[in-house]
Amino acid sequence: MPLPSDQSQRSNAASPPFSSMSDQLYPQVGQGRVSPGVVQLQDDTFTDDPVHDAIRQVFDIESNQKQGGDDADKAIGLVKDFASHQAWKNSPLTFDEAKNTVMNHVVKTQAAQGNTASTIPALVYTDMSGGKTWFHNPDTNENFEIQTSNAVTSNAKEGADSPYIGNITRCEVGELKNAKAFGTAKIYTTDNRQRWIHGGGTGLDDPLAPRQGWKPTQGCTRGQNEDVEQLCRKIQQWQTENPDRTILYIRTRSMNP
Amino acid sequence: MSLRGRAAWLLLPIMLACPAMASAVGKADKCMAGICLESKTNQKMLVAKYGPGRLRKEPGADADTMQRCYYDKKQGLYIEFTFDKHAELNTDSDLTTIMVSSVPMCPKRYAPKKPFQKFVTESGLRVGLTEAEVEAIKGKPDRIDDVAGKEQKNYANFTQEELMQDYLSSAYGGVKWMYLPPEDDLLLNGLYISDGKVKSLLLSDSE
Repeated sequence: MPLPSDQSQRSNAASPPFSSMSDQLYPQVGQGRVSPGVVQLQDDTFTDDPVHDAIRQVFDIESNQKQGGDDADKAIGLVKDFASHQAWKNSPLTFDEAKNTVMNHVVKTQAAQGNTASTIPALVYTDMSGGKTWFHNPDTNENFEIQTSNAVTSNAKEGADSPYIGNITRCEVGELKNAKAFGTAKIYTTDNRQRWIHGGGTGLDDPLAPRQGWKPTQGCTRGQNEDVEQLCRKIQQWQTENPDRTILYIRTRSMNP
Repeated sequence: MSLRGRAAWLLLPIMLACPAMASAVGKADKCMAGICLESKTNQKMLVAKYGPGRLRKEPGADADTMQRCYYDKKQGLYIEFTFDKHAELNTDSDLTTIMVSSVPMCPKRYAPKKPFQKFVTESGLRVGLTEAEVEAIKGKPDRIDDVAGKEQKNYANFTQEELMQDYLSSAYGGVKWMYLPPEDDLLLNGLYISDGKVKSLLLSDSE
């Protein structure tokens, strides 16, 4: 994928131009308004991204079972469950594997009693094809968007640009170790391949500049320093204000090619 | 035969007469002292061979970036290896940067368990070369960085230790000749130069 030009956009608009499932699902989940009408997707939205397809399956299954129900908490519980499931840590799975995993979680979650509104997580979502990353605050429905790149090097390890679903763990702003590679902000996730979201870029003219330019990675998501800093501050603010709530992290290719 | 093919045949006698030209220009070097980037060299292998050196690691549990520093007394050089982890679980961190300098990079001189080979790249780059010698090997640099100027203007709030750790300090050399990769590659060479000579040499395929 070519590196983007430096035209990053940041917005606090209530409805970002998502062309993905997250657009169709997540904000509604955050507001407690999941319904079959909302989650019903067209067949032509299938992709080769099993994580995305599995999310779709979860919500399709959920929708069918609810027959018009309105249980957002259970729906988000499903997402949380399979996000933390070990089988998802090293995506991509095959579609059947993904579907079976999700089915198991549906059964478990249906049996479990559960989530209240206060447990709904925030979301950091990277659209790897579209070159954007969002932070979604489910309480305020705020969407904060930055331009990012998932261009990987020609010799990157197999699966370096694969989708991933997990959680955001923490982030750092300021003077980082190995700053030229990571810039001035770095967001950590549960990805055991250590594919973070960060700025910087070894060999760029000034890797620590607010808008340092672009360079491919070994699998991480790269943004401009000042953008990643702001994203990081959103995450830190959420974590401070909501110490018992998680931040779901999804990186996928777009649903709409 | 294509135009490019014909050109290669025409250049062959020149390339044979001057072997360095054949491979040097156009691609950054990736090996020094028999240690190569873009290979399967990882931290465990280097530590097993050369000992632990001086370990510098990121705070926190992730430890995704680690640096190990050594001093080679015979060559009068400090050597630092940087390792990043982007592999599957249970594999060790990959070597992503080799920095060699006549300037102290570790607080003490940490001797390797076994002597290093000579720190010369595959095209002949090494600490001590003149600018003219570098140009003869690699051609004109893609970019020349004013390390000293940036240090004063951009990084005034950094400590000298931080600048040293990130190879942003002019102590390594007041200017840096950069040989950059194509868009889809990371491999680059940086030659820190003071008084017309290479004082420090960086090979990196770090992000």
